[in-house]
Amino acid sequence: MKVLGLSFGFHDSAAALLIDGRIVAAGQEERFTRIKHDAGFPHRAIEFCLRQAGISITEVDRIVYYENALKKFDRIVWASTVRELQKSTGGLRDRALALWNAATKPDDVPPYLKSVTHSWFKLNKFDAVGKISDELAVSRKIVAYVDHHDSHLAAAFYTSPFYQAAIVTMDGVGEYETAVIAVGRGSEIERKLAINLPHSIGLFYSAFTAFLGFEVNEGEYKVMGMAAFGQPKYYDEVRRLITLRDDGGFEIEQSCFEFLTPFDLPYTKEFLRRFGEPREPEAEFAAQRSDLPEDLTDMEAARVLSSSRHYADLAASVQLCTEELVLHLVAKASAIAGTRNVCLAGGVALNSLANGRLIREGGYNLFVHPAAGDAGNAIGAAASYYHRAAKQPRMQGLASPYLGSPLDTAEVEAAVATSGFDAVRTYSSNEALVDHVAGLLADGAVIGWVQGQAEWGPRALGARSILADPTNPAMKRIVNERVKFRELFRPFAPAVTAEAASQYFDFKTNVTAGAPEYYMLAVHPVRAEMKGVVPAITHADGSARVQIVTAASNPTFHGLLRAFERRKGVPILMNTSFNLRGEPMVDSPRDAIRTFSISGIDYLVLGQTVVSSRVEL
Amino acid sequence: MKVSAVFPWEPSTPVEILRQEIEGVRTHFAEANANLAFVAPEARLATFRTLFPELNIAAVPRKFAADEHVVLLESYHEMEGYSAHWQSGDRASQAGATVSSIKFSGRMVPYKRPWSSNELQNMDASVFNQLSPREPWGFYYFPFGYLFRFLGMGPINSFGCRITHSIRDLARRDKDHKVVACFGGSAGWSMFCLHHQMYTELLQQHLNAYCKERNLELQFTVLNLGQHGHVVMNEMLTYMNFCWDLKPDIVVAHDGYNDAMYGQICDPRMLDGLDMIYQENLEGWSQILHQTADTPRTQHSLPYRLVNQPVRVLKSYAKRKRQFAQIVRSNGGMFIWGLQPVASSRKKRSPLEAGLLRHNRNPDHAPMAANVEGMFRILRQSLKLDDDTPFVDCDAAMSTYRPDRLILGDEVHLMPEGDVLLARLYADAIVSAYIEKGRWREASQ
Amino acid sequence: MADDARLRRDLQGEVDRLVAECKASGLDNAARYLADNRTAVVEIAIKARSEPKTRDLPSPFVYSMQ
Repeated sequence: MKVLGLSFGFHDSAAALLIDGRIVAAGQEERFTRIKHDAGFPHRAIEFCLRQAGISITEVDRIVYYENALKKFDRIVWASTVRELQKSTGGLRDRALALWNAATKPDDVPPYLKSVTHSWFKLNKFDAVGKISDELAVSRKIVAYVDHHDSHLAAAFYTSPFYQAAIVTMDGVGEYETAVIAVGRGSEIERKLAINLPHSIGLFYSAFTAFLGFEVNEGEYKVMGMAAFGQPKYYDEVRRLITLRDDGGFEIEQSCFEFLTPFDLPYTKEFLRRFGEPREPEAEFAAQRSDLPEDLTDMEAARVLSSSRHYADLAASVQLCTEELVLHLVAKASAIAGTRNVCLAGGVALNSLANGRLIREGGYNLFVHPAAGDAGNAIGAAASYYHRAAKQPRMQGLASPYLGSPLDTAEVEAAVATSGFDAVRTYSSNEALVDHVAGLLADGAVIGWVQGQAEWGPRALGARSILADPTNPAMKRIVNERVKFRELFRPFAPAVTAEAASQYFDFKTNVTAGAPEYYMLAVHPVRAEMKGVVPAITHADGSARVQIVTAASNPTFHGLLRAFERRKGVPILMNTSFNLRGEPMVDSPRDAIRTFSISGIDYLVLGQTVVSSRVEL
Repeated sequence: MKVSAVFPWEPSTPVEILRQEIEGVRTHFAEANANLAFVAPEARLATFRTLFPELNIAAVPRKFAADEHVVLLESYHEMEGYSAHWQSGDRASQAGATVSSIKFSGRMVPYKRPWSSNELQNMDASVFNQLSPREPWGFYYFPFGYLFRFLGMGPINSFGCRITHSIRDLARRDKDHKVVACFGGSAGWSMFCLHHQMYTELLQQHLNAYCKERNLELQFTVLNLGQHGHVVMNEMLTYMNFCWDLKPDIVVAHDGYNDAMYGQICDPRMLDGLDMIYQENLEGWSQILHQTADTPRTQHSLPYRLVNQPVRVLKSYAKRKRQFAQIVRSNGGMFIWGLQPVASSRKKRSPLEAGLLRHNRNPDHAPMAANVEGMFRILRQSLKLDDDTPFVDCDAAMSTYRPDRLILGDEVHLMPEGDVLLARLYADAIVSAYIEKGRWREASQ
Repeated sequence: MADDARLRRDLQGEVDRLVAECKASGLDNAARYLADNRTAVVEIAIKARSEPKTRDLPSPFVYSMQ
């Protein structure tokens, strides 16, 4: 049975193809269109999946969309009604109610609802089935949809290695739901608890993300990075906003937030009254005087340091409260399910600090779907349909995160030929390649590394990575300034061989394949005695978001780590995603060359071909 | 003629912008010996009098006269952008006055009236002008490239260049009279500067002042042959068409941005096989001329797709510019390789500059513009020039220059203070490489 | 003009179908909003569907990078 799962329309469009229970291909649209978080119809991701499987669209048995569009619209109307009634009193309240009767002019419709109505008609969001049918020229009869959190539940559980597990999904909002606890056993998923809007962990975190000057649905990682520079001084104020329920649920106090009709900012004046002025986007951040330009006056430097500390403390407070929320939900889910196996999905599952605590403190056997956000729902939608509607036996779990575009030798040759670069060398074997590249890394080079099939999910795992020497304390600044142009508080993550991980990091490292550490989705402490050995990947709070690499999970990358170890005595590399700020991870050789061209990367490795950045003009 | 310049209603317009607009009014009416008066709305009198005590600002009159020329200084609000002062303008129009508005760059344009025949310059200067629409701005067909007409910023010649000299007369100059011909795109045209503010005018002043101070028997004339949209190939064509007999003693090629931008989106077959970078929009001319609108071109629709790699583009750009240098040298001139500044290289800027950048940025250019800073970095690291070819890196100089001042008006066009720096940079290069090294003596034959 | 009338008819039909589907699915909020504000919703929809789906390249007459 061939099932094509699709997510599109709101965030991170993607397509995934399931054939007889096996994930054959999955791709996120942004990687092909080069539009970050592309939410458009995933034409190119679909083409990729079909091409990878060697089939045409006419051979697909079912196409499944990842949410119930009309139910979502129903929620939007409900939320607008609630908000309008809350805003109005007396005669105005009557008028608000009267608005629901025979508004003849568009301007009589509340602005948020009018804007959404306009957008939904323009993009034909009401009829996702019809849209898919039209775009792919297929019959409506083969198109189905599943609820948003059912997609997340399926993505979390069915791709896990567990026969039985507690499942927790947490995000901004789907149709009405923002979090669900369920129990998975075999092919069955049984829902136990659902939390609805306006109580949402994802929106809660995003509100603080916006307040801290970052872009929502993009900057949440930055909040985590900033948190390491602060202390949770505002824990009490933030914690006051959350009520944890005995049944595992939670409530968020709404006076500070605008979750119902988010036209502009997701927080209110009351929020500002409690937490002060928002941080300006791109405002300078510094943890110490030496981070700042020398010519800055002492007064200005003091202002920046004080402001940085304040916002870092707030980030730390929000992060701590979020972790508690997640631990609370997971504890209840585990108790209900009667197992320590836990599967997570939904955007909040990408909170690697929370995941690390679940593993170390909770002792859970954790599985996090690598594309835990909405892109992963392409797999989730297909998997949900496959098991629940089509009643198929339990599918194979995720064997590898490398589900994306393969690296084609002919494509590499063509891309290099039109690149403008002249200093190119192709190696005849992987052994010779990794040995050479390890030497370049040991000499301080920053390498763009493109191998095999691209990663599924937001983390670079050695297929589309930028690599550098983690033992060089200057390397973090070098990569930030020359390549990534990121804020100084963003840490860089390590990739480490599985056999050496326990020497460097403080967590139970004999993890099963597919554990969060394989997908770089958990943060753990760097061992105290190793912080000075790998300073470039040790964050301000002594932690690192670890990727474990085995010879089985990624032989070439593992080989490179071993080759680097032979030179520098450390089987760890700094591993960051191969993209510049503001663009998606590279996918094709052409993308890689373009990004490489204008970055400060020293060498580009495409398969067994190494391109030097040296140019003669 | 009475001219009334009306201050805007919004008091929030930054003083730097108002100053440029006032300069625009003075410049446009200088030759007419106009009786210039400054007026402001009653409620704003105190504010503007404090800012401009030298102007003797009166209240806006209740009535304007029919023979008056009323000029509205555009306001600029951080959030809303620009707007002309509508009420006064409408009242003045109703009274029969001639009404214009002055933009933040100093450009003067008609307000709710057609351009007058005086204002429409050069419409009949050649058949290609006559055949073109009688519009105040736009690209027009010209068989050896194109001409771009942009009115309202001061005098232009029949080919759209900001030149008031007779090139034919200059070709017959004395041996001690040196000509510097400056090429480039619209940033080189100094799109946000009035005529006397252009870097070419200031460069001329610097060079002549230098010679006078040292009693050198030299005179410099600097010509601005910049034109909107020009890539290096256009610069070469312009040189061949207009400068061959002129034999400029020095040529400044102040460019980079257009080649970097267009190079990424033009036909790869033109780039890879022929090192030809051209304005991608010229494909539209082909479609119009040959009625082939249904035939696909390199770009189908917006947004732009990047089809050529940055380093490949740089190679073609560098090759063509070396070709240009060779042509110039073969005709007896010294070639100066200028790299124009771009906003993305400038990491710190004033809030006003940031606001203007936000308002004036063209989002459709973003995919290409994102690569330009990196391309310029590769260029400066990798370009190998001989000692006879000075390299003036205006981009590097501008990147850290006076972050508190208004230097750029958008991604690539300089405000008057930016042109002040440009003039200084090129003056230093010419003094060092041409005057002090005595090259002017070799050429005086 | 005929196109405008056809678009209006099509969208009225589409809104009516949406109302029916929402009612059948128990989505009362959406059904009520679309039904009770049908006139305004259709106007909003007409404006939305009249906007071009792709953006044309600029005319060569008016355009350059700089």
